[in-house]
Amino acid sequence: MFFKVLRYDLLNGTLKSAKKYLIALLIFLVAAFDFTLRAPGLRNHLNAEMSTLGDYLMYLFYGMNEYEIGSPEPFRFPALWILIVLFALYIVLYYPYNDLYGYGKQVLVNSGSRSVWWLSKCAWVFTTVLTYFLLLFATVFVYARAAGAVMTLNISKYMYMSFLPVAELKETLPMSLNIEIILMPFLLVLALGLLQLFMSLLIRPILSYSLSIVILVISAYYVHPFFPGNYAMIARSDKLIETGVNNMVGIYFFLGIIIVSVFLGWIYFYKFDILSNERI
Amino acid sequence: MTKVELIEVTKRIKQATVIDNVTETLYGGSIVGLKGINGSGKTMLMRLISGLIKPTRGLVKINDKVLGKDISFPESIGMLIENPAFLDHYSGFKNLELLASIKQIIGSEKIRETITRVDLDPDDGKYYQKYSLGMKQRLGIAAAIMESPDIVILDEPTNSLDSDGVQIVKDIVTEERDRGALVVLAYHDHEILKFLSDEIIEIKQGQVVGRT
Repeated sequence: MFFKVLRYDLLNGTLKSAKKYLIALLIFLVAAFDFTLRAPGLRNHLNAEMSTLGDYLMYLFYGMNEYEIGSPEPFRFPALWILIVLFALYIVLYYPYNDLYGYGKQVLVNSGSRSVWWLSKCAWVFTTVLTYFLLLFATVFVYARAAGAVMTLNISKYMYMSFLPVAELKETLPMSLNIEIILMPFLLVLALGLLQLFMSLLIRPILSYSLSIVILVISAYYVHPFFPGNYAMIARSDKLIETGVNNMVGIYFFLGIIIVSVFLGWIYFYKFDILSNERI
Repeated sequence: MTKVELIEVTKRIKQATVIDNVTETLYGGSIVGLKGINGSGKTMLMRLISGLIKPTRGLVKINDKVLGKDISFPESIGMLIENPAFLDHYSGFKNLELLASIKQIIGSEKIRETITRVDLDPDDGKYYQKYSLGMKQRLGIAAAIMESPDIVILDEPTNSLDSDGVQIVKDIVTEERDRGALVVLAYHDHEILKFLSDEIIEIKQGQVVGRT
């Protein structure tokens, strides 16, 4: 029964998200194009020759350097990083909720199980987030190749020098940041997406989305292990700066949010009254 | 024979008591009409029987199985509660086919037959979003009955229907009753309810106040 409901969710949810994926594709292309405009200036400044695929991805996910509270420097919002994360969270925001108060109500009753419905929605969130990131990597891969980048995930030294605080950089910098580039943003979006799914049972979806925004903005403002956005910003990694956060801690933290959200949602949905959608 | 028991059922939502200590037993092979003004508790009673909401106190049993404990939802139920809701970018047939794919107990022929029964065209490729209100209502009724469920719940099923549509609903509920299903109807209009039902339960402020 689970796979039948999941098949329905994948068909229906993906169909409803099709236009959003097109917008996502546009965002990724504009971000990659923006990097190709900026990269020559950065490379020339540091006598670097070529950009790599890793450089493109770092540009998307470096986030922002640690902000010192009280600093005369203004707080600069990590717009691109937050846009990529928030757009993914927007894609997974409404479908489960709208489905519950529409056609999905019949699917739920026909399935005969609240657990099946809930777990299928969790699996849909996982699949949608995975698709989003696969689309991102595929788009950047094709764009970088067309732009003549070196097709390796290694990060060029000029990227570190250009985007990170040179005085705080560690002496030995890693050649590549595969976990930080590939896994951590995915896990962040998955964890917040499932938290949003659970919170949408308690409060309106728009409020649960607002909660995600608050979490991300606070994460940008403060470097603290309790603010999950930090783990998905390359500029906050302890592989690069002494005061950074550790990605293993981040992985456990994200897994904790995922498990707690799925479990609490499961328990709560079991007792949840399905009335009408006046809360939207 | 299907048996639905409501045993001292009370439902509170926030501070309001929407169903107040209702005890009723309903049997298959009958058409039970719920009569009451808007907000009297008819739809809430239907939601309780469907398993969509859970009683604050008391039990709902379907064939001796307790809803929310032994089963999450009645094992064989078709329902149209409030407005019909389907997928906008699918035709009527495609919508029902997708819904039927969950249980997989009926095939295309039965879906086509049911769509024809509510006087729609199964070969009409028009998207659901282009349907008139009456067509949407008919498709909602078709979805509720297509799997020949033991319990059929219809909340104001003649909404948006013309006189032909009302007659179709009358024929359908009679046929469903005759094959042994329990049909529960809700209406605020007493004349239509009298026309359609075998027995009528009157609800006022969440309480059963009469039975005819």
